[in-house]
Amino acid sequence: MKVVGRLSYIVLGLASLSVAFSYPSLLGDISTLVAEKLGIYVPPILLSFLVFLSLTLTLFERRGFSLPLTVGVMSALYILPYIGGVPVERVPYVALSALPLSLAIVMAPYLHFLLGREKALQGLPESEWNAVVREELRVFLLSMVPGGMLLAYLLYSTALGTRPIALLPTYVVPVIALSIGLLLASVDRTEKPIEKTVLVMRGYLTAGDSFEVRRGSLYERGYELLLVGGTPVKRPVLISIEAENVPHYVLLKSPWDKLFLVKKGEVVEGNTRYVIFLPSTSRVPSFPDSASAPP
Amino acid sequence: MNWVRWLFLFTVLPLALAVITGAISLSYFSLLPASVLAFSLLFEPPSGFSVERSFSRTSLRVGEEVEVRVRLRVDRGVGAVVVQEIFSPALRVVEGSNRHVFFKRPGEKLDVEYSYRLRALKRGQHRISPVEVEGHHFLGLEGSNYALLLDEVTLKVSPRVPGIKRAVLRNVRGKPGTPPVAVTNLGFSSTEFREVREYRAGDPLRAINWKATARLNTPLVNEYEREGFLTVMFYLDASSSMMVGGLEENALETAVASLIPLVLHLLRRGYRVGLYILGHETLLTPVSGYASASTFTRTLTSVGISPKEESLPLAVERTRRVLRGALPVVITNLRRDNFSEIKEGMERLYSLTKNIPILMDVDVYPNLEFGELISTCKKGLREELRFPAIKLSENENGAVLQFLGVVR
Repeated sequence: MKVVGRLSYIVLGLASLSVAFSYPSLLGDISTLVAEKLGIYVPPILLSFLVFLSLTLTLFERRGFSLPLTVGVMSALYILPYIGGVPVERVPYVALSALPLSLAIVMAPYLHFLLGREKALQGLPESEWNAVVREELRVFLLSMVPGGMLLAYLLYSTALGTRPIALLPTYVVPVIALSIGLLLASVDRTEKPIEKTVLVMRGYLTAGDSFEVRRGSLYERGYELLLVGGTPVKRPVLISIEAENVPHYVLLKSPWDKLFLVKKGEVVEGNTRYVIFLPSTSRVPSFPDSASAPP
Repeated sequence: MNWVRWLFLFTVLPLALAVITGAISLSYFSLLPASVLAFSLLFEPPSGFSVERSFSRTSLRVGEEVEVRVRLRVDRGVGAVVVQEIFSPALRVVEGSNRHVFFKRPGEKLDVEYSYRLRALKRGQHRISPVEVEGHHFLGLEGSNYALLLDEVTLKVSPRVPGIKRAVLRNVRGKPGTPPVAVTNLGFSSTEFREVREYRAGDPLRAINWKATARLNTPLVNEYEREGFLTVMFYLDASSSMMVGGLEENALETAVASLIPLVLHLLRRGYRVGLYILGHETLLTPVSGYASASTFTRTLTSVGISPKEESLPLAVERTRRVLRGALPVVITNLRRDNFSEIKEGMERLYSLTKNIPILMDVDVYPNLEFGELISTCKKGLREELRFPAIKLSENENGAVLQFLGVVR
């Protein structure tokens, strides 16, 4: 995920750039001070950018802020002067300055999502992951093209936002876009009848290397599956069973270990309904054969 | 927070900002997140999966490899497609990978093929799961699609035994002047009735006692005494004491790898062979004839470490009805803590069979760190036992040949 790592820093840079435009007068004074004391002239925008970039990197790297949170802080810093009463007219190219930040706030949570998904799906070949991420980013950037084109048109027609026009109902544009999207998304989603239900049980426990699955005890809202045979080893298991009724839980029991699985979700693919059972993180209830059960 | 909520928030935020600050132009920046959101709603997660899978073979020996080829097709949606199969740690991926991720592009069908090679590390019937396919929306907007395609496939892995088998046959047949103990299978030529017992796989149909079967509604066969053949009764210890070493190479694996060719050889030579597996309480009643070989092979190939402990004296009691006149052979890992129990069991065997039982002591300790000391200790225990005891080591034919020498 080197691609995502690099993009994260670009996003931080974009966010810092926008904020740098928000504080021209403050940083202008500091720039003058630096020029007087050190005799080096640093343009206020550059100085401002360096200061906010350092702040961003400190929050992200040292303080461990997530990427969306860091960009969120930068967004708050960006709007702070306006809320504090700085007249918008005094900020040169206010619309243009918001452009990098608007890109950052769209990309930051997406990159965060990609990183989170990679952690959830470990063990896949890195080269394939990188290729997939590149493809996804390409589609993601493609999705920004219509909005970007409209934005470019608006910036062009309003002289980079300095002469905003009230002719176009800008407020309504996102609402219209969302409505169209929802309408299109609802097309061709007719549900097919479910012909079979498959219980899918996944877990990691000590079981035989070549076990057989047998039905064990039947409980009120779940049942037990026995993994019999083989030589004990810590291993992943994936068991699928066709079922009429969906239990609330399943207990996987090998002679050396047991695992309590609860229903974590349902997915319908074609005419099959898959009910996924994953290990429970909550306290396992007592079973008749466990020591905590009352006699 | 779900990233789609962030996206929605940042669609609304510039509008709010425009209202708060009065800078109408800030509202233009709703366009980018709104565009992404609208675009993502157009596409669903990848779905319409179909898979083809082929194996270069499904029967192999330990150390051999099998190639698995998988072809995946995805018809609809946009996003990452994760495909994987799960199998026993007794199979190791030596080339390629059993987990892959691909990207399903908009407007194109995904059609990919991959392969990987698995090496069998241990005998057994190892299952390879159905192909698990997950389709993730490219923006994580909707839940993933999931499918479990095709059936489980079982790879039958036999122990690596041919070397031992060849050595056994060459050495046994090659000794001049030693008449074979048995040359043919007697079948049912004996008329001395012994008992009626339950039908077991491998029993001929003509042995079925139809009257008794009809009366008790369970298949029963007549058992007759057999003459002229030595019965060898093996007691294989499958308790946790045999789990010395790793998953791939341990005492039980060593015992099974030696026992299979030995049993096959004895059956081929006309001996009656029986087997009892301690811990599993599995009994194969002594039978003769090579037709029974598959029953023994299947049982031994699938035997694993038992979670239950069973002492040798108890096993002897449980099998006493099949012990008459048999030569008992105990295969275990002799240690100080089970020494007295094994000695007691062997004494009991002697009293029941009037044949001196043989101990095949599995010793895999020399392969382990600091194992030489334990191995030396085991040698002392074998001498202390006062019964014929043979050391059974990994990749060593000597013990099997020595045993055959004792039998003859």
